[in-house]
Amino acid sequence: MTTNTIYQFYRLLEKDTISFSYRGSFSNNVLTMVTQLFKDNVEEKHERLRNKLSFLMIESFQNIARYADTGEKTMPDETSEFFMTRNVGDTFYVISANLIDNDKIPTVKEKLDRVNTLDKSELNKLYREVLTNKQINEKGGAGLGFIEMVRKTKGKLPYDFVKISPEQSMFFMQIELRNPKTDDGLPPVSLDDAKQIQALVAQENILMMHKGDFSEEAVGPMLRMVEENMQNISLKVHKKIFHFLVEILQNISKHSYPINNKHEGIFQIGYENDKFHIGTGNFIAANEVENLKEQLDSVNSKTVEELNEMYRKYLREGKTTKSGSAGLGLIDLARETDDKINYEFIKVNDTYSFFSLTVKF
Amino acid sequence: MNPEPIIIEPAAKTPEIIFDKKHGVFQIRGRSISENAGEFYQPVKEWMKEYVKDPNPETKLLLNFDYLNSSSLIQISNIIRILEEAYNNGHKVLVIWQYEEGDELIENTGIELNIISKVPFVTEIYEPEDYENFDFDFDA
Repeated sequence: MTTNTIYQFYRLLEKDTISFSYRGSFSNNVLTMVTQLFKDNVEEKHERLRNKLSFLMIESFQNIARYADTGEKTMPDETSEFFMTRNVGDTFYVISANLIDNDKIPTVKEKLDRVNTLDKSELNKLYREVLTNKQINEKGGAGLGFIEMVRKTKGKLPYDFVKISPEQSMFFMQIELRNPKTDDGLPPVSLDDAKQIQALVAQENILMMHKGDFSEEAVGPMLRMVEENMQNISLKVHKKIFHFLVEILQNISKHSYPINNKHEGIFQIGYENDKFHIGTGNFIAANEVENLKEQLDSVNSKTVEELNEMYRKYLREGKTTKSGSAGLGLIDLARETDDKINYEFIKVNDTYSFFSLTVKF
Repeated sequence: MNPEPIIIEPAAKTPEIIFDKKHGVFQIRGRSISENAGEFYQPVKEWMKEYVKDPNPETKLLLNFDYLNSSSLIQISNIIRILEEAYNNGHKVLVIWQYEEGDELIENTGIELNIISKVPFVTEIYEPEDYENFDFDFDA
């Protein structure tokens, strides 16, 4: 994870009102939290789609569990299961990717091609047949999941198999849920888009990525999800990540440059070389860049002893931050991060720049 | 005379607070990660400023956080500063900073507060089951 790739990700997700990607182990906890995240953050005009979206996310998630041929893994790698939900314009996309044994591909492909070509009444007929057990297969349900996905979205299921070895392939699938009331008429985002994101997420060792509105009310559900997902790592590291995530995200919601009244931003959690990495990116007003840069350079250039002294002075004085000096949160971050606070400013136009930051613990 | 106690129920971003002079209970427990910590703690600080004008002979302030953001930490530091006044005037004061075993971050925050505080200050591991029987002996 680098400050530069954060901007790359931002550009890839520029059109997304909200998006969430996840790579790694798939438990029901993760599922509950992701569905909640979207329930809480879906725009009002798409409210009627909420339940349907939750249903489709659950189906997609369980489909990964049903079809994935992944062996035991201690940490995620480039063939780990991948799950993504994104809202672009008036359409929601639910994307899944998982390893599958090559000898199973024809069966899965047949099921997908079938649901993708049937019309509404044929689908209903197939649905009833499957429900009355006329067709059954050992993987639970003769593709009932696929049938439901198509029935609920009234759309197709784009899919792809990318061969990674003589034995296995990555199986990508995308569910597209369009809001019929507010249809923007835009062509759907291609599955290739998601494949590109999956490859980059894997390459950068990212476990979790969220792009959206970082206003105070939007940060809450995101934090709850991160917390839920860190239950299996040591208390010390878990607390640290959560603590600094709160600090960084609150800083974004306070200081980022709002575009269309939203504090747009992106955040990532990754795991690389035995360290957890946090990366964030957001816009910042052009006239604040110099000041922020000075603060960051200032804390980065100090020794731990100097930072400790600064920290205690601030604590003793108990003053809230005045502009122009690094706050307690930033001093603390500089003390605790392994190495230093990495950052980058990329000028977007004369009004604002993109600010990305990475730290590791 | 005893001022009305302050009792604040815990919420998603703010801790439980009980400041009760009559029963000698002074405690802040839970999660304090509000962005507007200054606003949240304002009435608590006001209460403490009144309290230290006529404090109990002994004041044990129990602080037990699972998460604490930096703006809340500043406020907690402020509250301890106010309590120092009672201590400087010859009253017994003790700040008890509790943390969960293995939670280095909260433990270290307590150590920092201890370094900068003039009042007697202890940091100790918190055992959830001990909480109900919580009582700290001043003279032990």
